[in-house]
Amino acid sequence: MNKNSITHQQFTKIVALDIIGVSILSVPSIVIDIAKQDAWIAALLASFFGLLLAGLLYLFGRLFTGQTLIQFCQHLLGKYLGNGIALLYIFFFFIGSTTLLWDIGQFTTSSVLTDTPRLVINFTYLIIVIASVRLGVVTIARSAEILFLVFLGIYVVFSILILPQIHLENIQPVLEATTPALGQAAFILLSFTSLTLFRLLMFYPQHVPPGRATARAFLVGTLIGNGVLLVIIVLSILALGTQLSPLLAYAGHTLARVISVGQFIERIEGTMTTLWYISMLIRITLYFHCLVVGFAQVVRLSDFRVVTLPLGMIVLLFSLFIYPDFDYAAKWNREVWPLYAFTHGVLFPLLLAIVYWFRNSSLPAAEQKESPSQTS
Amino acid sequence: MMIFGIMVVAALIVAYDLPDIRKKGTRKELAFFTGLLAIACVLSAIYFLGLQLANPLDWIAFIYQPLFDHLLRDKAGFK
Repeated sequence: MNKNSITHQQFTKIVALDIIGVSILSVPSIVIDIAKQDAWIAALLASFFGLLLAGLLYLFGRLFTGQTLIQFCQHLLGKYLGNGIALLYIFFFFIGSTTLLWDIGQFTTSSVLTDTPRLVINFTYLIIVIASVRLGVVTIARSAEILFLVFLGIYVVFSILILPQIHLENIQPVLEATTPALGQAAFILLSFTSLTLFRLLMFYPQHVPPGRATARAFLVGTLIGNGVLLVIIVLSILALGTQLSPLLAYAGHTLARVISVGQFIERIEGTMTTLWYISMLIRITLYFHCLVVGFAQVVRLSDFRVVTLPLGMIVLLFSLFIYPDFDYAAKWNREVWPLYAFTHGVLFPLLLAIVYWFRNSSLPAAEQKESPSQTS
Repeated sequence: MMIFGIMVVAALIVAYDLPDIRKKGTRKELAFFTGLLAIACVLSAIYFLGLQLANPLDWIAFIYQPLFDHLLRDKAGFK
C-alpha cells in the first residue's frame, strides 16, 4: 500500500469527526434559540443539505486530478487570479484556525480551568496541532481512527445516561417554528458542519483517490456526523428545554452536568469536554494543515514544515483576541460566519467548476507529479 | 516580561528548525522562515506592549454585515 494514502475507513472517520467539530458544545444553544423546540427539524434539513454538499464536493474533487484545492485554483485561473483566490482560501483557513483556538481558550477558561491564563491553554493545544500537522496527513488520519472509537464510546454512554432526565413534553408543540426561523437555524448549523467541509479538498483527491468507496466515505461520514449532532440537539431540547438551552453558552456541557444516575454517577461533564476536545482537535488540525500546506503551495516552497512554527506563532497570537468578547463571537457566528462560509464553501467551488467546464478543452494537462510539499 | 518570553520562544523555534532548513532547504525556504518568524515576533511585541492590533474579523464583517442586514434580515426574515 502507498505510504501516503489514507484508507477509506480512516477517511470516513475524519469526515465524521470534522463535521461534529466545534458544534457539539456551543451550536445547540444557537439553533434552539432560533428554532425553539423545532430545532431538530432544522437539524434534519441541515443533514439533507449536508449530504447534498458532500456529494457535490466529491464530484468537484474529481476534477482536480491529484492536485489540492490551491493547486487547482492556480492551474485553472493562472498565476494572478488563481493565487488571488488561493490567498482568499488561505485567509479563510487562518480565520478558521484562530477562531477555533479562541473557542478552546474561551471554553476552558470559563468552564474547566478557570484560573489558568488563556495563553497557556491555547499554547498547549496548539502544540499538539502543530505536532500532528508536521507529522503529515497519514498520522492525522490514523489518530482520527483511534480517537473516533474513544469518541463513540463516550458518546453512546453519555446519551444513554441522559435518558432518565428527559421530558417528552418539552418538544411540544411540534411544527410551531416559522419557515425563516427553520431556514436560518439550518443555515447556521450547516455553516458549522458541511459548508466548511471543503478543507478536505486539500488532501482528498491527492491522498484518497476518487472512487465508489471514497464517495461512500463522504456520505457515511456526513451521516454519522449529522446524526451525532441531531441526537445532541434533541437531547438538549428534551432534557434542558427551550427556555434554558438558549441561555447557556455551552448547552452540551450543561447537558452532561444534569446527568444523575442513582445519585452515584453525577457531574460527569468532564467526559463531554473530552468529546469536544477530540472533535476540535481533528478540525483545528485540518484547518492548520490547510493553512500551512496552502501557504507553501502558493509561494511554492518545497517543504511546508518550514513555515509551521512561525505561522503557528501568528495563529496563537491572534487566537488571544480574535473575538474581543463572547457577545462579539455570538453575533459573528449568527450573522457573518454563515455567509462567509457559504461564499467559500459553495460560491467559489461553483464558480471554479463553471470556469473548468468552459476551459476544460483549452487547459494544459495537469501536472501529475505529486506535490513536493506533500511527500513525507 | 512578555517581550522576553517572545524572544525565548523565537529562539527555541530557530534552534529547533534552523539546522534542518540550512541542511536541506534552499535560500527561499530560509527567507520565508525568517520573514514569517520576524513578522510573528513584531506582531506579538505590538500586542504585548498593549497596542491595538487590527482584527481581521472586522474586515470580513465590513463586507458581510450589510449583506446580512439588507438581504437576510430584512428580506428573508432572519433574526
